[in-house]
Amino acid sequence: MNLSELQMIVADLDLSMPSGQDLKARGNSVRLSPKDNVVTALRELRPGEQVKVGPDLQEVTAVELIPFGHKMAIVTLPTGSDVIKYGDCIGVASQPIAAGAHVHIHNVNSRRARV
Amino acid sequence: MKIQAYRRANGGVGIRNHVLVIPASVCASHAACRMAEGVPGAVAIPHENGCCQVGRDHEQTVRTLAGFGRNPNVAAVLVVSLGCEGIHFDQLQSRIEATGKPVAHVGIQASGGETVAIHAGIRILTDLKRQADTQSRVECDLAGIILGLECGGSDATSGIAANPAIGVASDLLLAAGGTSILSETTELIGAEHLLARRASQEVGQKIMEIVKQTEARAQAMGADLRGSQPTPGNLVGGITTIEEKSLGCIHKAGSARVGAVIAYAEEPRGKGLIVMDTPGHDIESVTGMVAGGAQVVVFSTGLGTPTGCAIAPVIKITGNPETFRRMADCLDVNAGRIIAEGVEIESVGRQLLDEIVAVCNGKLTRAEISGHREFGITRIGPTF
Repeated sequence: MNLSELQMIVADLDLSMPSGQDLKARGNSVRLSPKDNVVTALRELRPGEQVKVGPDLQEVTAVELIPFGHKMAIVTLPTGSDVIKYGDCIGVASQPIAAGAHVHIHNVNSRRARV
Repeated sequence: MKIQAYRRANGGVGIRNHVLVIPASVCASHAACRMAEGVPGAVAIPHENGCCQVGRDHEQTVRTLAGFGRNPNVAAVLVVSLGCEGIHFDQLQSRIEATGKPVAHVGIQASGGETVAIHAGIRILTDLKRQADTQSRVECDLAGIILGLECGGSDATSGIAANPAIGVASDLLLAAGGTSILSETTELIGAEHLLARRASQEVGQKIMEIVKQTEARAQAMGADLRGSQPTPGNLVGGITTIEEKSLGCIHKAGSARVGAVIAYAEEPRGKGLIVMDTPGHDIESVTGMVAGGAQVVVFSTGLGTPTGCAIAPVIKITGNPETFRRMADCLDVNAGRIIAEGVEIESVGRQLLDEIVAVCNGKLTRAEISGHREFGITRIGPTF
C-alpha cells in the first residue's frame, strides 16, 4: 500500500478525533464527536465550573466534582438512554442523569457480556 | 525505509539477536532458567504449561512456544524437556528448525538428572551464543517489520491521545509496507462493528464471530464481564464500560482496512493490518503477537505499567502527562503533550514511528533496560 492509497482510505473513514490544538483550546474538557452527549474532563472540574461544548461554545455547568479523565453529561439523560462517546454507544443510563453530572458506573450500565 | 537489522536464513528481519531457551513444559522450566542464567545473553521463557492439555489448547501452547523460537529476533534456540511431558520436544524443534536457525535439545531424564542436564545446556548455549554473535546488523527493509499493538492500564487519555498517536504510527508503517497486529478481542467488544466496516464481508464476519465467542466465554462463567473488564484501574481512570474501553482501544489500529483475522500465536500470511484473537490480558496478548512473529510492540498505558517481553522490545507510550512524570522509568514516549501542550496527534505519531525505527536499529526500551522477561500463554481449555 502506498501513501496515496492510504490517504484515500483515511479520507473514506469517519475517524475524526479532535486535534491537539483543539484539545488545548477547549481547556478543561473535550467532546470527541459531535454526536456525544458527554465530555471528558481534561483536568478535575469543580462544582459550578463551566464547560464549553461544540462550535458555538455552549456552556454547561458541572453540578458535582468530575475527576480528571472522567465524563460529564452535557444534556439530561433519562433512564434507559444511550450514553454516547466517540460517536458511539458506551452504555445505558441506569438512572436519570442531569446535565453537568458525573457519568460513571453509578449511573451507567454496559450492554455487553452481561448475564 | 531502511533499518539495520539481522537478516535470518528464511528472509525474516530480526531486530534483536537472542539465544532462547524454551522449556517444553513446566517441569523443564527450572532447568531452562538455570541454563540461561549460566550464559550471559541467553534468555529463558519459563511457563506453567506443556502437559495434561488436549486438542486445540495443546496445539495453541505448542504454536506459542514454537512461535517464540521462530521469531526473527531469535538467532538460536535450545529446547529443554523433562522427557515425559505432553509436548514432545521434537514438535518444537522441527517447527523452529524450519526457519533455518540452529536448534539444540537437552532432555532432563535422558541426561540422567537435572544437574547434568543444566551443565550440558550451558555448554550448548555457549556454542549457540558464540555462533549468534558472528551475525551482524545489515540493511533491511522496514517492510519486514510486524508491529504488535497493545494497551494496558488504560485510562481516559489512552483513547484520546496515546492510542490515536499509535494509530498514526501504524498507518505510516503500513504505508512503508509493514504489518500491524491489533489484538485483545475482549477490547473489541462494543467496537467490533466499526472494525468490521473496515474489512471485506468475510473478514468482517470473522471479527464479529471472535467477539461473540469472547463474550460467550465470559457469560459461560456465570458472571458479568464487568467484574473484570474494565479493570479496577480503568474505572479509576474514568473508563466506565467495556464498550468505552474498546472504542478507545481500536484507535491503535489507525485507519487502515483489516486484511485478516488470525488465531492466537498464528503467523500472519499477508501484510497490512491484521486482527489476532487474544485476550485483553497484556502479557498473554503480547506473547501471542510475538509468537506470531511481531518483532516489536507498541504499548499504550494510561496509569503506567512496567511490562516487557522476553524477546521483543516493548515501547511504552502514555497519553497522561502526570503518568509520564510519575512512572518515567517505565515509559518511552510522552503522548501526554497532546493534552498538556496541544501538540498534534499526528506529530506524536510520527515521533513514535521514529522511536520504532530507532528501537529496530538497536535502541533499548525502558523495559529491556530494566530486564523484563514477561511470557504467558493463553489457555483455551482446562488442565487434565
